[in-house]
Amino acid sequence: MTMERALLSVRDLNVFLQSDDGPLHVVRNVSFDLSRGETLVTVGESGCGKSMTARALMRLLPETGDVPETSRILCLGRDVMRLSEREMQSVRGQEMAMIFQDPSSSLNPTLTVGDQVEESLRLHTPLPKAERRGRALEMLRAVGLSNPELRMNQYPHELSGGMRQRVLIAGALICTPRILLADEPTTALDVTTQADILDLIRDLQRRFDLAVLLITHDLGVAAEAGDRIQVMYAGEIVESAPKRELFRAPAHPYTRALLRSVPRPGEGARLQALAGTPPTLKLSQGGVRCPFAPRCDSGMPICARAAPPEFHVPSAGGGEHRVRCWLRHPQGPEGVEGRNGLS
Amino acid sequence: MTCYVLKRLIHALVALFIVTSATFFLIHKMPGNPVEAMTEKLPESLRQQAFERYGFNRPLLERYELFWKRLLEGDLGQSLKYRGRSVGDTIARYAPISGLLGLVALVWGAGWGIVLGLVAALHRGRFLDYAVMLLAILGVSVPNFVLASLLQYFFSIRLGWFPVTGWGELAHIVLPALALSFYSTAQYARFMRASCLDVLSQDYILAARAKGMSLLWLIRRHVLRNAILPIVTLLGPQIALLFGGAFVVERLFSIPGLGFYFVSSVGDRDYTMIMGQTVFMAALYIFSILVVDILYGFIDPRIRFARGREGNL
Repeated sequence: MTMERALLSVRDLNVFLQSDDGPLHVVRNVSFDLSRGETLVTVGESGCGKSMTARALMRLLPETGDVPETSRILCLGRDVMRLSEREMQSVRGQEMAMIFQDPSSSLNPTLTVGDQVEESLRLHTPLPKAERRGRALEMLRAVGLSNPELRMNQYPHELSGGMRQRVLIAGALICTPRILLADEPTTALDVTTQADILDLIRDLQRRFDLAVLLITHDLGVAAEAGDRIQVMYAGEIVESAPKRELFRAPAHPYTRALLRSVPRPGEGARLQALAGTPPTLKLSQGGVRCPFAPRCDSGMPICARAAPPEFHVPSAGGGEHRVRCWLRHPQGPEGVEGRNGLS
Repeated sequence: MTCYVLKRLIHALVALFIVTSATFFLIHKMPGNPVEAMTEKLPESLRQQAFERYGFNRPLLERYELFWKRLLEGDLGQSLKYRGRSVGDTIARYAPISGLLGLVALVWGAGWGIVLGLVAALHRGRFLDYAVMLLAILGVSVPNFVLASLLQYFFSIRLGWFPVTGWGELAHIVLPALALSFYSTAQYARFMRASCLDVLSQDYILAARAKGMSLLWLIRRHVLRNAILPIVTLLGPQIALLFGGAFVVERLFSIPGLGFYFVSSVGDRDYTMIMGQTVFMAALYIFSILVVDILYGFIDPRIRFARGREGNL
């Protein structure tokens, strides 16, 4: 994969957190690229490390968070890990912006909408107040907020959840960043509003030429919004593929299980829940076996003995399809040599 | 909003009535009365005469009624101990002195408390945090007269920086205000720390940092404002506490404040003086809480909004 084309390049990202029960290894050797104008979706259960990945990219981990020096994050060609805090502040909001799950708590209750939307301009530009207000108003219009003049002087509690998320998006994009990290932006919203916000993000993506990293636990959202999807499990990316490819030919048993657990109207098939719970992310448990092995329905003896490396899956529609599963080992049941076997 | 203020005002008046009545009956339950002490050596007939003059021969309820009648006319009566001195004048003359001392102590205490609380929160779990919390524990547990004596010893006697006692110059106010404010500093530091930690864990702090905000900006724009809001309500009780809590400190520093008279009037069973001061203190306490609560509503847009709706109903 060419590094130059990607706006954001992540290689071997690891994140450790201190918890009361000892150190946790919450993000494990995560690598991906995010190109111009594309939407990459990270899907996974809660607690699988997807939010921590996003926060690591912004270098906004909790105080106990630690990223080893071997991890590399290139944002517009700059090594984020080597930037000073001050330099990082100019990256945040200007090059990379982030929106969060709960728009209600992500807005300061004591500042007006206008104040919060123009905040980034105040931080990153010398624009005078009148100019900033004008831009903020423009931005509120762009995110489709009704009656923006009135909204400017309102407080967050006077808006609905969907409007708050629009305000948050307006505030994140006002300095025209190149990359938007959207951490479960629709989770706290009701279903119709979810669709509106996803539409809005897609619309803004085109208008502002944004690369979007969308984090969600909802495959429906992933199917709706993504160009490429990467599935995360226990801190690892277990499968990544272009959207169509992933839904057409999911390679990892976890992805398949996830797909089986999504209700599909009209098909009449029974919904299958994935049994068990994800493993804890304690430091000691990494690397010795496939983290999904205990819940896997097609496990093999090797799965309990060694963690699978990444295998390439031949894909039909072009684009890279990678999976971390022993099934895809060249000599495995679904590997290149044994493809006539089970699959 | 008007509806809310009116409701609170009625509550305040009821509270004031209860406090005043309770004090009235309690002090009359205390053994001994001032006239008895004054007329100890007089013959019985003269004593009865004196009793009648002060109304002590009448039933308690009648005297209670009389007290309210006079109070509503704005008359707090004459001191029983120091004849010819009106209670109202005494309060008017000495309250400003206590008030000034209290105000300086409050500003000092709240100011330092807020700064220390913020510092502690930002250094959570590290040395500065523990240092501030230790100071806060000392502040709550060391009585102000102990601190006052220590301050006098070190800063007045050993170092000679400030006068030991007295009143009238700027230098006189420093040590007593410091002694008085230590408790407020501790209180504010503890509350501010908790409040800051709460704010710092909020999502909007992360969101603001994601916009590229520096720590200094973050504190100024998002942390301070939101963290101070809940502790504004502390201000009400503190105002009255400083006003009335200064008895001992005033005495140690020979400051002619209200506290001095309050304490001695209790010993003298100077009923009118006690009642007058009680009414004054209680009113001050209750109304400073009321005023702070109403102000709080104006500062916090969420409450302003909710109350606006309530008021329109």
